[in-house]
Amino acid sequence: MTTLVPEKAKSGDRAVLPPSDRGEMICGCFDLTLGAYQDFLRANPTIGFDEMMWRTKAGTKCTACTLDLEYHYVATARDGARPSTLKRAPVGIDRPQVTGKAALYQMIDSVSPQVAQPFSNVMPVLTGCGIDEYVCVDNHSLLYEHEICAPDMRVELEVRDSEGRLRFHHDDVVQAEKAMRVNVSRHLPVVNGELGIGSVMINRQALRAGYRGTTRPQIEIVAPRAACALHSQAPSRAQEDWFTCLHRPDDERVFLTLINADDRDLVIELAYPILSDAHYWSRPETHFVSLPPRGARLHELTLPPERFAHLVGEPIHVRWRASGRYKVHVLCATPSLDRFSIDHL
Amino acid sequence: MAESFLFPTISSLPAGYDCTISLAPAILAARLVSGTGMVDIHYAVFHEGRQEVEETVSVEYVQGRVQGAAIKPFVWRDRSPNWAGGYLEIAITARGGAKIFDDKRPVSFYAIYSKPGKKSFFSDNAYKFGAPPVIEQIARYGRYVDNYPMVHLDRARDLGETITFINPYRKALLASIKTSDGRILERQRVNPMSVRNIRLVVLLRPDETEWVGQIQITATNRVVTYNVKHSLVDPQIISDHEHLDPFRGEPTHLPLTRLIRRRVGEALTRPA
Repeated sequence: MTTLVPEKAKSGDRAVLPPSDRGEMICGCFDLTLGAYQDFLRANPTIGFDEMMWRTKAGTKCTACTLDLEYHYVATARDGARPSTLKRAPVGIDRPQVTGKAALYQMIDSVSPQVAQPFSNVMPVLTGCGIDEYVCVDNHSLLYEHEICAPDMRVELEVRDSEGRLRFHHDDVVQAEKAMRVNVSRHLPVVNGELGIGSVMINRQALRAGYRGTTRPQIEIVAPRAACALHSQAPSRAQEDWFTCLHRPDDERVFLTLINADDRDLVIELAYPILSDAHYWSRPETHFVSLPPRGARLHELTLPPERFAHLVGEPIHVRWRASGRYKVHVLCATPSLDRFSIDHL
Repeated sequence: MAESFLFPTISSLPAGYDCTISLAPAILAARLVSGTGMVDIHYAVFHEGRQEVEETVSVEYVQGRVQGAAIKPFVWRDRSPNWAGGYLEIAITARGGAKIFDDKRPVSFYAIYSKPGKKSFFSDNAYKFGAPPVIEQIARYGRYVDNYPMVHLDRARDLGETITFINPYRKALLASIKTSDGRILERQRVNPMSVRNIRLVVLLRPDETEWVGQIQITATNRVVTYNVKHSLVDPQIISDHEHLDPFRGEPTHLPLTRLIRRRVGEALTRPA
């Protein structure tokens, strides 16, 4: 008998059930009935979701049935395969047939000891202007039910000033059902109350094997009149990337925070404004920002009003190029710097 | 394997702000296998179960360069007070079903939200379906759960927050919000192709002025979620707009041999 609700799901509040009759069509584009789909899953008990889509074609045309496919992919009982043992297939990337090299790697990996993945993220730390910034790592169980939780996590913070000098080091273990919240801005100097920048490297490793749960680090920036928050990410090696904003000098100030995550000097080339309209090919202004090892800089996006008054209210594209390991974020603030938002780029 | 479409994405359209989508030409060009092809960008705005606007912008690329006029931005003008919040669905397809994209992953971009007299904020687009962490989560735990660890409510500092639920599907759903200290908002119905905003100030007890903590949400179907940080007094003064994060099902450990291969690869690709 088909299990219509996943083993761990609460069944009482499902508003509208997906198709449940074996004869009911689950993918109309490719005439796939629920029964045929379930039979396919049972015949291929470890197939990944994307590989299923690739082989049945279901969900690849109008895509309306994708959620139902996901639901029954999880819910359909398969001999010897519980949902937690299914292979993962990144959706959106058709997996090629396993070639000789990949098969060799799979075989080697299957006998290799497991080691903790080292996660290393970097975020800007803002100072001055009445700002407090916090790093937070939570390790709570799924829906706080004390059943499924990430393992204890060792978390290490390295707070550096704009020149890359280490100013604060913090080591902690975030146990199951616990949270860590550390004020990182208080360890950096404030110059004349002005907006300043440093960085925090957040390293973490699980103390035993498990799943990541809620342990992705976040920062919170509390300004005098508003707060903003963002999850952390690893540094990038992108040689070129883009960002788009509006040119609104009367209503806001836009800054890029640039962090060098390497132990050698880095130069980031910024070019803007690159326009979307007929001047798309016009020559932008270029700025070169030098960062010392592990250093950080704030770069405010400004345009001389005498040349760019016609761009007020218009989208402008910003391009940057670099060769190294670095991270860029965008800050958008009120002119008085009492409200901020932050996003990673 | 080349593809003829990218997975559609969802962006929020909150009350009180215009929304501008302006794709840098190079971002789309980077996804074309040969740098050449005719791309259609379909924009559709939904509000309370109805499609309000439909617009398609076509762009021709030849060897990575846009031909003719550049990509026209999509601009949504605020309709408040006659607007309870809606959403924008963006689908990017190849003209005639040509297989020109490198894979189906969506293009990531920021929607820009602005209004005269207020600062802008940015928000990234969300997968309508097919997000790898969500697939992993459903495969691992059999439940759909998003979490957000940085809720900060403060009556004295005027810090308010709202969870925006976007249901871009044809089934109604019920969502619940739970906090790390046991507060619950249960069975919040979100109608098909609609948006529901839940102000978190109701979590504050009458004698409390501040609450800092984590929330998790679960729903009877996949739902797109955003956390909006705003003025407690005026929710249309928004400072920040962020997506939530799935309760992660990816493993914390990996085979030592794979880690070594990764390190060797990083060393070999590092610039001199």
